[in-house]
Amino acid sequence: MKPILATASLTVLVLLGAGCAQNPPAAASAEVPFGTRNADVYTYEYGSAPAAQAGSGGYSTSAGAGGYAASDLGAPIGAPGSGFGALPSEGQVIYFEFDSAEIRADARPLIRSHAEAVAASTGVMVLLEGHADERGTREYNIGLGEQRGDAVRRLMIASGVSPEQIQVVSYGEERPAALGPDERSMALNRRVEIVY
Amino acid sequence: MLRAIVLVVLWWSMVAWAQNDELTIEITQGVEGAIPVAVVPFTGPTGLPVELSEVVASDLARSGRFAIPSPQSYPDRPGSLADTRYQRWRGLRVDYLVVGRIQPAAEGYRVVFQLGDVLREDEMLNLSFSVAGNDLRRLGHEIADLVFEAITGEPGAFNSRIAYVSALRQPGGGTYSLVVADSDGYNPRVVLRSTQPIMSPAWSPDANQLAYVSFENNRSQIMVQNVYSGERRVLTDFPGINGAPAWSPDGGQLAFTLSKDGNPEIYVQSLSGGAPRRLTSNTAIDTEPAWLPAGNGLIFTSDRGGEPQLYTVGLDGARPTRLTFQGNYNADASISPTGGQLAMVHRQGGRFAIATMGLQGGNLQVLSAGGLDESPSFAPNGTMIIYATQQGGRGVLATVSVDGRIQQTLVSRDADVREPAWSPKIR
Repeated sequence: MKPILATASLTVLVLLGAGCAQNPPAAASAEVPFGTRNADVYTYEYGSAPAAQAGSGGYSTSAGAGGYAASDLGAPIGAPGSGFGALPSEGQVIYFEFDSAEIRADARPLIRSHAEAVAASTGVMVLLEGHADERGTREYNIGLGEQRGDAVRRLMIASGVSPEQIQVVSYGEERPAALGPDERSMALNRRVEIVY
Repeated sequence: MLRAIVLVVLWWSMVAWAQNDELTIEITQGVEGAIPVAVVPFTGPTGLPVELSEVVASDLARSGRFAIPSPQSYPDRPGSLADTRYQRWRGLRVDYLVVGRIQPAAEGYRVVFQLGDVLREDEMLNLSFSVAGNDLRRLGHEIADLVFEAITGEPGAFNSRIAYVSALRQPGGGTYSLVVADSDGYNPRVVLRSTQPIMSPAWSPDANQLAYVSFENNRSQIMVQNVYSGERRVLTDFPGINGAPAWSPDGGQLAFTLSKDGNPEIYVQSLSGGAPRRLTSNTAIDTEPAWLPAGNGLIFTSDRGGEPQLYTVGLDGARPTRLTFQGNYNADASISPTGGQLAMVHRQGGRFAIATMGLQGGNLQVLSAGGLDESPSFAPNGTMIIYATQQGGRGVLATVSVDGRIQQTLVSRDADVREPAWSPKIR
């Protein structure tokens, strides 16, 4: 049992180590070079060499030690964020019950008044941002946020807005308006923001 | 609580953190019935950047399969099995012994390690490596994998990585980072930084690429990025949701969620091109696809029955069948790469916890204390699950052995960390 174990493990190492080609493992005590001078930078001398696509004989190290490279690590990509915990203006937001995309009766007048304003000016675009509280899984909450945005969208269309004037984007629980773990914060996060 | 793994805790606490994104590990639950192994500090030069034997000991302890007595209790500090008097180690009640020695070499170090069976007085492994100084940690993980496999007969999973999302709350806007670190949280590297949310990282089976969701263009898009070259491309950019990417086991296809046809549905697309093919058709939310190990179908979350539950669908798109019946919230399946088991987010008594279940159904086993636990992901050898949880209002990562016996928390000093994805083993 002993030599079999050692040999099997060595095979793994050879696939893993850089520059192993000149050192075929013959015995359990064979010298196995491990890695190269750059941390985590390995060349594939054996097998299907999936790393070859990354450059000349190994991984790019443009991001410095570690071997990983990022697309852009200067300023963060994306437009300036609207901030964590930034509450939207009162007249621009529709709130929902837990795990529900049903529009509450008391939210209808606000949606209708936005709809009338949008319908009256043909060039205007409105963005409906759907959001969820932190309970539940993240991708499911993306779905829930979109259902909320769609519910507002349908009511706006029913109130005379052209579908081409409305866009819906769901952020799920990724951009909370309130950061607390309490029920009130979560209620503030179950929302659709109406953005012009 | 700490018992025999005190040495691991001591060592973690001594490490200086160079980066904000670094995670620190807290052991939150001890273990009984684990295999006792002594990991003797390797002989050689002092003041090395990494205490190799402590990387090995920490990995082995973290798996829940091994108990590592503190080196203070060791009767001796041999550098090789030839210098080992086995009978002195029987008093410590250890079954196995890891010894090693480090020698300076032209470009780094030469490391020799041996694994000995204390009862049989038998050498099980004897391997030697040449390694650069900044690669000692990775060698430690590989030695731990070799020891794990020699003793348990199953491959180790320590020489692997985790990807996760880190969110920093800042006045005037947050920063979201996609981070790749070693499986123990060390060596974090930011591979993407954005002012807009980043979600759902998923590893390719060759561990070279990540698929993820980015909102950098103020809408969701699925990106595919090579973590080594940084090269990336937009995979999907449809109106509505582009979410929940998952690689097929052969790496040739991605499953994901799109809502371009009106509501969230599951699609599959070949990475070599072609249009996404829709597998579900339902007015409910269908999302979070995970591939069956055979690659012939998916498990996904759907609230078509009025609440989120897991369903199975074949690649032929035949009518999905419901898989979970216990509780009123089961979502976000992760399937064990070694087969037979899946992990999910399960709600009980208003708390979200990580639970496992057989792929064919059966009873749920709840593994985590619960609260806001989510995003389970199996280690490549199926022995541990990493997931996201909260501690003091902050997002942290945690690992639990699949038998639920040993748990650890990985905490970032500044940021909320979430959505861990455990990579396949690095080759």
